[in-house]
Amino acid sequence: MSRSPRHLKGTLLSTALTCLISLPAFAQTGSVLSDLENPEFLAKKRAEAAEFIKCDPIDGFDARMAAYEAGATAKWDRASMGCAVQAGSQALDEMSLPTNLIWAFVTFRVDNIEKHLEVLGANLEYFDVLANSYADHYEGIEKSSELYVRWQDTRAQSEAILAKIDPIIPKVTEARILRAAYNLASTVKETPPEEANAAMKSAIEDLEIAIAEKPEALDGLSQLMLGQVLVALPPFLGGDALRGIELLEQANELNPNDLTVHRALVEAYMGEREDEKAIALLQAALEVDPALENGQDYVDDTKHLGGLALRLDQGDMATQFNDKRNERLASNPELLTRKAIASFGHGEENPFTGKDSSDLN
Amino acid sequence: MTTKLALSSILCTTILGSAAYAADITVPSGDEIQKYVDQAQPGDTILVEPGVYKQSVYIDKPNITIRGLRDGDNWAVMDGELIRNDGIITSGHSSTIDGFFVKAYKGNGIMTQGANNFTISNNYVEGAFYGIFPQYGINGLITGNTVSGAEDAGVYVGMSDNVDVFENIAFGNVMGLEFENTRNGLMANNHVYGNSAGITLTLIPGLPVKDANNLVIRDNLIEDNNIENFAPASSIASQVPRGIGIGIVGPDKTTIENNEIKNNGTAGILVADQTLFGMSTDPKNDPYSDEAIIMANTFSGNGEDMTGILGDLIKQAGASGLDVVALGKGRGSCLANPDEVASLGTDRWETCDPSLSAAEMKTAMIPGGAEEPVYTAEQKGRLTYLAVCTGCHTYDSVLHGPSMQSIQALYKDNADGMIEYISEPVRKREDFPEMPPQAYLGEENLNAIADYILNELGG
Repeated sequence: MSRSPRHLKGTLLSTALTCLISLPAFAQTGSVLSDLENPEFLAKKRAEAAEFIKCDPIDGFDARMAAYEAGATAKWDRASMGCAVQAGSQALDEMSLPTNLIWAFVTFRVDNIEKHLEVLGANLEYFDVLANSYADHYEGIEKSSELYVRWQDTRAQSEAILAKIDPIIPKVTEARILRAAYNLASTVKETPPEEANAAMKSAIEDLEIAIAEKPEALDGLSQLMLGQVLVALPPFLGGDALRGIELLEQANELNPNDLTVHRALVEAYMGEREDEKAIALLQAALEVDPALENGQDYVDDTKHLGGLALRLDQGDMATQFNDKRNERLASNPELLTRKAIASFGHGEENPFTGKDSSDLN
Repeated sequence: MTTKLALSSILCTTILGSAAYAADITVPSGDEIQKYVDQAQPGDTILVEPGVYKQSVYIDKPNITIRGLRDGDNWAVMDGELIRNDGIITSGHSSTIDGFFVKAYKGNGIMTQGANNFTISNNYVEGAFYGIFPQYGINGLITGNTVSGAEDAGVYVGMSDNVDVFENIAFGNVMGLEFENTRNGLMANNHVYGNSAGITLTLIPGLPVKDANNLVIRDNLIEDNNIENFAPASSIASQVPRGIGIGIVGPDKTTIENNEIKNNGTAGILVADQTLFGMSTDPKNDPYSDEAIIMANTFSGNGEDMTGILGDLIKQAGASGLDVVALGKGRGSCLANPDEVASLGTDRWETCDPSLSAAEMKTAMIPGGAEEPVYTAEQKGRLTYLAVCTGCHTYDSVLHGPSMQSIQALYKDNADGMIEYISEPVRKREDFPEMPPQAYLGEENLNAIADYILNELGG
């Protein structure tokens, strides 16, 4: 088993690692209504949200897997993707998993392991979709309740799969990597800081083992995750930007078409003021075939890379990223532009020009 | 060049014209201030007699001074009664707001919007979300004020340039004084105590102004900033670490000099990258705090009662009693007398050269003042929407009031109906509080806001 059947990108990790040393992410939900401090009110709103987001019931393994296949990559639509991932997770309930690899071969159930890893990967991608749905400054009660419920549901689904694959983790590096990814991704929001710290430590241990064991697994996802962790942490807490960059470079070699890796490595270079390397990597990112990426990932990544190009005074390059992004948006109008709207007294919109100042144009 | 000359002549004409007709207008105790503001001409001074004024005031013309008269303990009191959003707002250039006691507003105590050459002086502001809040202003002076009880910053200089903050007292706020996304600022001789964090210099992502730099914090007394952070959980201010004397998060070229910084429980000074607060990155921001100069300060008793995540981080590193904590990837910073300052994370810092001193800097303001552009109605509409409406409404979800999307749907093709409602609201929905009347904004602004909301604001 060389890689998970689904191309697990790990965009969730870049989100996760931006706030490794942040204050409690769960504090970011809610509204200024004092009602939010009332547990009964919160419980009521969450119950309403759970009812509101309930997916249509799907019976039978084949129908559930079909629903999963149809919607599990729809990152621009958290409702559809949520139901698709839920259907895939429910389908696994009907799929047995051998507890050791030899028995898996003997019983022709290697595919079952791959399917479990694939659906777990989809759950992890969904954490990323949810994390991107939280507002920075303000969340209304309806939306914060909805996101909370979705987050907890995704946790429950992921943990159920992890419990099934736990016995094979010592033998299957890919499973270990996904456990690490779960520990990082699931604690970005709705998690007390001490729990997030413990999850990160556990993830680091798994990633070190995975890199030693099988560096090429999942196209260098271990190096991507651990590299980002080491770049983000301060040196006095074990951070090591230079080793982090080495790992990210390995990830880029193993997976040169993944713009998420480009983003992480360009930012790491910029943090070390290695601007020439950053610019060269941006140029390489421009050559990546858009068809290789999920549409939502592509427009998000190119927006971010264009911004990094601007920070590096590479206006032409920024324009090229923007053109590519606009092209993709034009052909896929369902994709989210992530245009922020004024919130809590001010927003991205320039009051004098009326333009969204994040528009790379 | 032609444009500049033309602008200068307009400015001269305006100023001369104003001087010729300047008048003092007195508001009798308890009367409606807005009525007198509406009658005032540029250059006039509005004198507000001591008394209680349960109202909001909006000034949208240039060169108006509004002054609260004081008789001992009897102030001109602006009282928001916790139902009004804003105390005094001005969008007029060369405004002076002086001598008021402003209390119990939900949003802004005193605010300027896009107003250049402003002065905010000798006010006592208590219990707003933002106490004194100049936004998008160039060239301003904030002096002699006392600010307390702000759920965000007591004095919050946002997206502005060339601002002096002198001789103010800030206590009991989440942040005492703040320069946010501001260029060229000087805070000097302020007393900042008993806040969650004393002074913050920040670069916040997602705002139209994308940088913050050249900020000098000098000769201040910054002590005992340890109170519980009481910002609403949804607000970014809720993530400000408690127990910090001065926090630098994102800006470049900052100078912290000759301050007395003592008894701040987590650390005296924190220098960190923008990502510290868990904010998403803005592709157009440089998130690193570069070129911090920390010299000639007096430190004592800092870092002895560390709390929160930052405290945990410091504890994990086995440290305590820190005067300076540096996190992140900033470059080009320096610390004077490093052996005498308890610090963490400053291994790559240089020792400051004495020539970097800002001790002789007298002001950050522009000699002769800033230009005073005339804003279009459309621009005023946007500014007012951002400053006033978003205190209670967001675009796509419920805050205090319904979402702007639902309001757009309700008043589609009916701007007049919307203006009528804004001016004299009545409770429409049982599950929402009644909206406070916004008639004080005036017909022109209400038209501009309605046009903006119904025709421009979008997702």
